[in-house]
Amino acid sequence: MPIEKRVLVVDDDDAIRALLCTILRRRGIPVDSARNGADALVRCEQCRYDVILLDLMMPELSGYEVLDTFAKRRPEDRPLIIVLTAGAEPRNLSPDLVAGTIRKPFDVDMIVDSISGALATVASREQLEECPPADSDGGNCSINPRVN
Amino acid sequence: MAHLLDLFLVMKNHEQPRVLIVEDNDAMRVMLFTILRHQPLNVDTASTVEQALMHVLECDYALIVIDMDLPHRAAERFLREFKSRRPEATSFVIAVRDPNKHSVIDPLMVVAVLNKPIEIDTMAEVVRECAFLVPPPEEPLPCTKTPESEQYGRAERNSYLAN
Repeated sequence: MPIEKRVLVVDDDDAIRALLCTILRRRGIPVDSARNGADALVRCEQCRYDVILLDLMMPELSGYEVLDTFAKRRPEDRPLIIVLTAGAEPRNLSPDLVAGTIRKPFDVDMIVDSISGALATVASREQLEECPPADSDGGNCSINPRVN
Repeated sequence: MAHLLDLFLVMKNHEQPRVLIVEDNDAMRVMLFTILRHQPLNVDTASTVEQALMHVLECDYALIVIDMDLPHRAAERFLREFKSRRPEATSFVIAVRDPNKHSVIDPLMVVAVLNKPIEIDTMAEVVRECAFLVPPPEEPLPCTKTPESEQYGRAERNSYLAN
């Protein structure tokens, strides 16, 4: 399995997902995307992620519920999570789970810097055996992520 | 050519405010550094208050961003030491804290508080604005060290040139 540092983008907005995937892919960062919290949790069962960009308001399973799931994990087994916010800033996010928040519409450089900085401090790890190649592999940042 | 580049860097560094980030969490520190080094600022970092004290005794910082949740109330200790050893310093201090923890913040020393998890874009904006508000000291320390942000930028330029 490849040794890598992988990022997961979780947002129900197709354009945002495609945009972030494309931006990060161009910087050589393996990226997967998920369109809601449920999809994100499935991805997290299959693959190791070092950074997750997480929208909060999503259908099926919200970002808050994804955070609740990660809260049950040991701190060393949690990825670094950056929350993407729209509108009023959420006040009830735990700093133990969330490294920072970025408001939409986001500054692309700020997102890239945040992710690059966060990835710089983690060691590359071998991916899980059941983890498929990243969505960004082969230059594919389709707005329709692979259905699991 | 190299001489001219060095001269340009010295002039640029002299004009740009210097910022110190004090944070023990590696991911957070490097993330903040990576964001701020792209601002027109000279940025240094410290993972302990001992390192931070060494920095502030050598150089003048327009702004210090410090995590108030460092273990053993180290941030409070740093601020006390800083005030006692550099009473003339005009630095602004921005405290970053977990609102659920009860860190003691001295309003005479701390100009602003940012709650965790930090709003990254707001932090960058606040740091940029505050750093340029601080007047340069009347008798600046003879700080000779190259800011980390500039070393980083030089490494990037070199690797770019090498390619």
